[in-house]
Amino acid sequence: MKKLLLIIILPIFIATSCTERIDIELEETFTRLVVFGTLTTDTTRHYIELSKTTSYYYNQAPPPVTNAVVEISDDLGNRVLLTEEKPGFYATPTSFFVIPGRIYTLQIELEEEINGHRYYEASSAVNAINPIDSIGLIYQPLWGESGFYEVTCYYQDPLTQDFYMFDIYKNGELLTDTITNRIVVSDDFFNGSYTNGIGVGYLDQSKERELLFPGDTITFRGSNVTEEYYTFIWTLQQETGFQTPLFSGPPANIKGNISNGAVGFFAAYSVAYASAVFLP
Amino acid sequence: MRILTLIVFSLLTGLPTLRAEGEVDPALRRFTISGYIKDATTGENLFGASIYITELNSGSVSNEYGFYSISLNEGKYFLRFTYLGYEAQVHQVTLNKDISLNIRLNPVSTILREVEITTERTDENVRAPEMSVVKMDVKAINRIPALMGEVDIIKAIQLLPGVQMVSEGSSGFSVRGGSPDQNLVLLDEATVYNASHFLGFFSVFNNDAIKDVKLYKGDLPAQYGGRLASVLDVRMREGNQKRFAATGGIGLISSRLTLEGPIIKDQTAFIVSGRRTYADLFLPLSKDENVQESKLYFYDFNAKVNHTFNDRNRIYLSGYFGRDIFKNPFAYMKLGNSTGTARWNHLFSQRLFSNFTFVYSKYDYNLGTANENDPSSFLWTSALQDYQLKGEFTWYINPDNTLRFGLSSTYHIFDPGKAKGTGEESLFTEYALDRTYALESGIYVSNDQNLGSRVTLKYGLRFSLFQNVGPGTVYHYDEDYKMKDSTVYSSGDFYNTYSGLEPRLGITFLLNEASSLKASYSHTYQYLQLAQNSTAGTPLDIWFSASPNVMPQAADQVAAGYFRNFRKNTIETSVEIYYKSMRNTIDFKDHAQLLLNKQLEGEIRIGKSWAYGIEFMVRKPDGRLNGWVSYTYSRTFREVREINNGNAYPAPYDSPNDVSIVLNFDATKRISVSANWVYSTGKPVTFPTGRAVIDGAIVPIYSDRNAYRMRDYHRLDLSVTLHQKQQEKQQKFNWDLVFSAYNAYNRHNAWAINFVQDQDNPYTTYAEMTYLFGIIPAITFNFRF
Repeated sequence: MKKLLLIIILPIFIATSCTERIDIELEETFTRLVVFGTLTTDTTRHYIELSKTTSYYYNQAPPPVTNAVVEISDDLGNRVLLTEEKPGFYATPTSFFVIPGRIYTLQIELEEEINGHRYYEASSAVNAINPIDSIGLIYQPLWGESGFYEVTCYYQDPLTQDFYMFDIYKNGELLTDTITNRIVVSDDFFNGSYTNGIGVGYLDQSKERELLFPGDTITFRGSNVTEEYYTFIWTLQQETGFQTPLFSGPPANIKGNISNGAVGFFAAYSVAYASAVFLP
Repeated sequence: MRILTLIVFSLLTGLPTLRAEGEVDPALRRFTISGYIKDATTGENLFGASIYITELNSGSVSNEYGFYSISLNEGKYFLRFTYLGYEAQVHQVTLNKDISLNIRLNPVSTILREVEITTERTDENVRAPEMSVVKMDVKAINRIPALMGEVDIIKAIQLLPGVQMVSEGSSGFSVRGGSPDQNLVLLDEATVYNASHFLGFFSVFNNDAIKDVKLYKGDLPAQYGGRLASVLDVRMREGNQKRFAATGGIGLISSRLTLEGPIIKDQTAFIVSGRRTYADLFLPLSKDENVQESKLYFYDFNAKVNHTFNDRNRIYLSGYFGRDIFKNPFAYMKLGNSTGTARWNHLFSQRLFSNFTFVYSKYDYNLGTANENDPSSFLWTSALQDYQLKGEFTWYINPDNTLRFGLSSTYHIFDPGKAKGTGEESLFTEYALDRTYALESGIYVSNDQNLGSRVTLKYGLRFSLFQNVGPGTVYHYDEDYKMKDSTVYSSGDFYNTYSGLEPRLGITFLLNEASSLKASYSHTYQYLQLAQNSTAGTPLDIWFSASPNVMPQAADQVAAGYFRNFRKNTIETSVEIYYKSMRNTIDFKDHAQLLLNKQLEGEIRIGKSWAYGIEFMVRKPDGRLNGWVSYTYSRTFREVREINNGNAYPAPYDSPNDVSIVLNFDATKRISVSANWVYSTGKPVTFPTGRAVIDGAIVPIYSDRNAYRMRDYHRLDLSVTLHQKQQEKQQKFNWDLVFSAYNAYNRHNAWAINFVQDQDNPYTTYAEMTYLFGIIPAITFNFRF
């Protein structure tokens, strides 16, 4: 809804406003551990990434945290030790997947302490997702310069309160490849009903990567995430998006789920897929 | 209630002068002279005209309806009637019975204005038993250069000491560090819940339909309640009782037309005024196709009729209706206020004036998809409605005591939001927030009392009562603000009540003819507030009321000031200091969800706040060169346990240094030049002091809340008005042409500062400032016949 509002009002402001680059001196805060990793019901290698915070104008890739001991366990006592595949990237075995209904815990032991701590921890429950019946593609000629293809979804939402994250692949390539361009929604507006073709993805036909040709396969991945992860993503999108005195509240640090003041998130969730071949 | 009656009673009996009244020497009988003071050319009431009794060296002023009443001992008196911009009149009266005397003052003619004449100036600034108050008439506001040539009351108000705009171009204003929702904005007594058009670039007040504006910045009179920071009392014109007249203007972005005249001469008059913008005509110039096809305009309409039955009874009916329309190929948004006011002025006696008012006010918006029948179409609506009844009495006991009392009750109906699919095969289920109801009442009494010729006291007491009325659902929250359970109340249940006594006290000590010291104290409560956590806000922000979860906000304010006039009252100066302490200040948790949220109350975080400041002002209200210069130093802080680790932080509108210079100069007979310059310290902001990279995104890690500041804000606006030639002025058709430039030296004032990721090098970040306006020239043609 808020997006819609931005669609209506922001162009008018942008039409009248101008931007210019300015220099602002910023102080530097203390270093924190940054953790990001997701586990899904897909059987594949899953990654946990460890790095450090830097000054705001650091202008390079973040320093990785190497030689940590990273372990994942579930509430039945199963344990997996992750291996450092490249600096700061810790991987599960390729056979790894999570099971709906279980709770997964991430434990990290650092070689050297950061911000006074060597041990960090986070947990996530896994909610189940129903299968997705099908997806469709609808051309919206009025949107943007060359129109958009809207990916529509047919899915029975359960009566529980659910939070979803949407990803789109084109011919196997993930288009929603950063946390800032993924769509997250709550089921407030369709709780318990059949989502008779709600929009779950948007392909901008003025962008080469998203441009569709006959025969292209579009795959939709729906994930049933926790409310905590849903909130993490939309607050992150808010903090990294365009801020104005009209819509934006005071900037605030996004809240993750890692212990001891580390930044980031550890999420585990169920995923479901549906594909369609583009035939105009 | 019994307590209140007791207090009122003791207040009344405690008045020494009142007790003395029973002991008046029967040989010296007392009579009353009363009447209305009007503009001789239009028949409109003059509010705040002074009546001065030469023999007694004291006087009075006319009320909002032009009524005055003075009770004096039998005798002969010279009464002097004066009003800024009008020729004074002196009447000799022999008071041996009650006298009704209506006065018609002639405006100083425009031809005379061009030589430096000193119209009669009163010492109101020094003598009036009120402080922290500014009254502006529309003529003065018209002279101030305006954004896109649209003369605007609220933009003029923002130039006063202690008042700041909340964001570039915004109609929101902050008074002495308060939030915009702590201002009570009244249009003919009806609360205007959103005073802005076009996201704040323009206010809802069409200057052609407005008579005068009074802003109370602190020392709120007891008849007003419900807001902590200020009252902006805007009154519409009544219409010309003498002859038909038309006023209008054609500007770059809007046109307006006002028609007025008598229906029955000297008895019934009307005024209707309309305004429509056509800014959307320029949207096709944009490069963006969607912007080209957008519609963006507003219109508003004011109407008022008044009828005088006789000297004792008069009625006024007035209304306002305005709408903003935004439309583009996918969606639309419509929003606006409607208000209606019916008033009956009744004189019970020459000394007891009364006014009864019924008010209806509504603010609503709806937002939806352009196509109503798609499965994905939806409509989102929200509204707030008020029904208010009010009775106000002024009892002119004697020249030393004027007692005011009254009561009011407002029924609020909140529809905070409802969203539903509109198509036949809609994808969306309805999501609606409950409609809630509340009753807000007040009863007050206050007295203006002269103690000898030097000291004037003004004291009053207001008792306010706020009740949540069923049906309604109250959610209960645990310590982490998570909803535990809820209670449902049935229709007609008064399920929650807050009440409070609000004392007001003011003292004016006249040091000599030209200077005075004043001090005031007030305690106020606020039961309604805006769910807004951005600085400028949007029209979608909703009002919500006190409830079992939300305690009413309360404020104590003390202020003191020194007032001095120079050169026969032609130059007014003042210095005021204030300290304000507020309880139950509302802020919101980080990343609060304020729209379409059933558990909005769980997003609120309550703390305290305090503000202090000193305001200097030099004002020359009239003459060839007129205007004012003001400087304010002020600070405002908040402290909320869950925000900023419980440490105090500067409030969003904390801007320590603030300068306004407003000047108007009649350069020649045909040309007048106006300029205003504003400067203020940049608003507080929170900037990143570190960053984390999460899944490819650069995520900021922030400083303490509001630890940084925007760049300082300053701006110069200029205008030149060309009047018609002298000989043409005798003609019926009058015109002038206004050339104006907003932001004349093209200062790039930051509206927003963002930190952005470089497109080509994703690990590089830089700061980017967005500014709204460069220099904006405008031309407006005004006419009158």
